[in-house]
Amino acid sequence: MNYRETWLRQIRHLASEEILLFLDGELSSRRHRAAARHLEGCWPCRLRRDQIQNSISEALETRLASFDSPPAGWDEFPRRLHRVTTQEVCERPGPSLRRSTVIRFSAVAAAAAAFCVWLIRGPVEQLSAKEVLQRTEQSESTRAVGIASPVVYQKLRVRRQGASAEIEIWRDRENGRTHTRAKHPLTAEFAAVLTANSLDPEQPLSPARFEHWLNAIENDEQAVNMSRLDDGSETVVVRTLSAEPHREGKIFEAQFVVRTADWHPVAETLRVQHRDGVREYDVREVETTLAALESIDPAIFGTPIVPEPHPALASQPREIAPLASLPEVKPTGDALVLEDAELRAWFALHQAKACLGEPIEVLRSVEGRILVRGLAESAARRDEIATALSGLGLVDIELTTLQEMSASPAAASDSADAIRVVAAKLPVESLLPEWDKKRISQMADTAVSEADAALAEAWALRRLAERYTSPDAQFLPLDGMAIETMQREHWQALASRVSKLAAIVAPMREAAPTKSTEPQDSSEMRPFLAIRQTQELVHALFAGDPVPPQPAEATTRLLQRVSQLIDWLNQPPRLTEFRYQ
Amino acid sequence: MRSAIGAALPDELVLDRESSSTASCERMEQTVTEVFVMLRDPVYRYLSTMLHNPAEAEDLTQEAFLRLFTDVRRGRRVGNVRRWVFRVAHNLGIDLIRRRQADDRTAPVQYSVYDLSPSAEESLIEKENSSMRNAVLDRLSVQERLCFELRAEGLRYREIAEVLALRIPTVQTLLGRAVKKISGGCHEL
Repeated sequence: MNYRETWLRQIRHLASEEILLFLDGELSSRRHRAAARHLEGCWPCRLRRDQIQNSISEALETRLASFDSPPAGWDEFPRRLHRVTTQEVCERPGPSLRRSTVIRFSAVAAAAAAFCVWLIRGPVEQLSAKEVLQRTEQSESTRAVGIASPVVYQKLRVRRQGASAEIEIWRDRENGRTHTRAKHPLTAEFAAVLTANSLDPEQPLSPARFEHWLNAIENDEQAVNMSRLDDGSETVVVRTLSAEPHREGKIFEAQFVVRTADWHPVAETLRVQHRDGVREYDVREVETTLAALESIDPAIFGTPIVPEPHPALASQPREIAPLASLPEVKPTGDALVLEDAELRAWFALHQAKACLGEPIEVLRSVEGRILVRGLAESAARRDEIATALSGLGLVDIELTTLQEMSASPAAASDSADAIRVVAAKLPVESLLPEWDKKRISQMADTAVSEADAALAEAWALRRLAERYTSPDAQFLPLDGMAIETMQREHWQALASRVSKLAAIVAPMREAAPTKSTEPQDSSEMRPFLAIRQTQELVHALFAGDPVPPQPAEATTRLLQRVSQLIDWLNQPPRLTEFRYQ
Repeated sequence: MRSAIGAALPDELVLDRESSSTASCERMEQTVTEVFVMLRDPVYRYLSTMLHNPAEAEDLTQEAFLRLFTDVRRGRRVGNVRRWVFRVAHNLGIDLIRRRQADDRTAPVQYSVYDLSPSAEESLIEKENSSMRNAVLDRLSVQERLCFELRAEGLRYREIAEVLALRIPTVQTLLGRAVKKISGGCHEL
C-alpha cells in the first residue's frame, strides 16, 4: 500500500450535500472551516465542487431564458395600488358611512377631474354620460372606414379577486360573425354576468350595450370624470351607481373607461351582488387590431359566411335569460370552496405549529367566510401566525396577544389557574434512590415536557379525526394531501415524543413490580386514552400532581402504556382510531 | 426582468402613526412601490414556475404586493419583507391552484359562447417550447423545483423553509436532490 492510498483512506471525502451547503454558506462555522480545509487539499472534492457550481450556473441560465415577460408589463400596478389606497381610505369608516363617503369622494374626484380638464385642455364642454357613450359609439362605427370586410380583434383581460383570464374576440362586422376564445372558467362566469345584465359577452366593451344597461336601471348617482391610463393617455370615466336594491347577479356599480384621443373604450369595472358577497370584475383591453377579412386565418370563423341578418333582427336585443336559468358554473363549488378555505386555514395553523393547544379557533361566519380567532402569547407569535394565514382567500384573522388581554380584568383572575401545587418530594425520587436531586429534576422536567407535548399531538390528531374522517366528508385532491400531511406529521411527532419518553422512563424499570395489580385493559384502551393516561401518570410520578398512592404500581402502568404506544405508533397511521367512541 | 441592483429592501414595514393618515398612506404607497420594483421579477418568476401561466403569475405578483400594502395600512408590522412577500405569493398560488381544481370539478361540460380548450396546434407549440427550455429543470419534482427557484432568487434555507412551511433539513434534502438531478441532466446534455 503506497503513501497515496494510505492518505486517501485517511481522509473522508465531502458528500455532495455537504459541498452544496458549503457553497450556500449554510454550514456552521466549524464545519465550514473543516470543509474549506478539506477542499484545499482534496482534488476530487474540488472537482465535484466545481461540477456542482457549473451545473447550477447552467441551470440558472436555462431557467432565466425560460421565463416569458409578464404579458401586460408592470404599468398597471400603480393604478391598482392607488385604487386600493383609495378604497382603504374610503372604506375605513365602516359600511354604514360608505355611500355618503363614496358620494363625497365622487364629488371631490369630479371637481379634481374638472380642474384637470381645465388645466390640460383649457375650457372644454362638460359631457354627460350619455354624450360620452354616444360619441364613443360614433367613433367606433367609423373606425373601420376604408377597410374592406373589416375584422376587429380584441384581447381582453378579466380579473376577479385574484383570478385572471384572457378572452380573445374576432368580430367580422360585415357578416355579423364573432369568434371568441377563452380558456378559463372565469370567462364563462363573466359571460353569465354580462348576459344577466343585458350586456353582450361577445362585446364586453360595447358603448351601445353599456348605454342600454344604463337606461334600463334606476341611477342613483352618475359621474363623468377625467383620468389617465398608465401610459399617460387621457381617459374619461363614466361611473354609475344603481339606486335599485342589490339583487343577486345584478350589477349595482359600473365604470366605463374611454380613451379620449380616439374615443375608444378601453376598460370597464363592474361590481355585482353575488350570494356570497360582492364580486368585482375588471375588464381591460390588452390589445386590439383591425384587419381585412381576407388577411385573417379562415379557420378563425370556421363556418361559411351566412347572409347578413335582417336589420330589424340585428338591432333587436337578444333575448336575455334570467341568471337562475343560466348554466350554473359551480353547482357544488361554494360549499366545497368554504370547506377548502377552512382546511387551508387549519393547514396554515399546522404549519405555524399553532394547532398544538394554543387558544386559537377556526370558525365559519354567517357571511360564508372563515374566521381564525384566538390569543397569541406575544406580538411576534401573533405576526408569525398571521403571516402563515396571509393570502388565504375567504379567511379573516382576529388574533390578540396576552399583553393586550392583560389590560382586561378577566385575564387577572384567570392567571390564578396557572399556579400548581407540587409535592416537596417527587414520587420518582423514592424509585431511584441512587440518583441525585439535580439529575432527578432534569429527568422530571424532560418527562413532563415530553408527555405534555405528546398529549398536544394526540389532541391535534383527535381534532383531525373528528373533522375529516367522516364517511361523507368531501375534499379536493390537494386537500386530501394536506390532511394526509398533517396526519403524518402529527403521527411522527407523537412517535418521537413517546420514544423519548420511553428512553427517559427506562431506568425506572427495575423499580417497577413485574406484575401490576391493576387490571390489564390494554386491548380496550384506545390510543388517545392511552396517551392521556400516560401524561397523567408522568405528572403524578414526576411532578406529584397528584401524588400516586403507590408509585411503584404507577410506574408499572406507565411502562406498560409507553410500551403499548410504541408498538402501536410503529404501525401505519390510522386516524380513525383517534375519534371519540 | 432583473430586479433593481444595489437597492436595499427595508428591514421592516410599519405604518407611521404619528403623521397624518393621508401623508403616511402616501409614504407607504411609495415604499410599497419601491419594494415592488425590487421584488416583482423574482416573485413573478417564482409564480410562473408554480402556475405555468404568465398572466396569472403577473396578476398574483401584483396581488401579493397589494396585500403587503393593505396589511401594513391596517397596522401590521412586516419584518423580513422578502420572506413575507414570497410567503404570501406562495399562498396565493396555492389558493389559485385549489380554485382551479374546484373549477375543474364543477365546471359545466360545455359552454355555449366560449371555446375553453386550446387548439391542438397551440398545445403542441407550448409543449415543444416547454420541453426545449426546461429539459433539465423538468426533472425536478414540484417541491424540489420550488426550493430551487427560491434559492435561485437568493433566499436562505431558513427563509425557504418558512415560505414553503418545511423544516430546514427537508429544504437541505430537497435542494441536494435538485442539484444531483441537475448535475446528471447537464452531464447528459
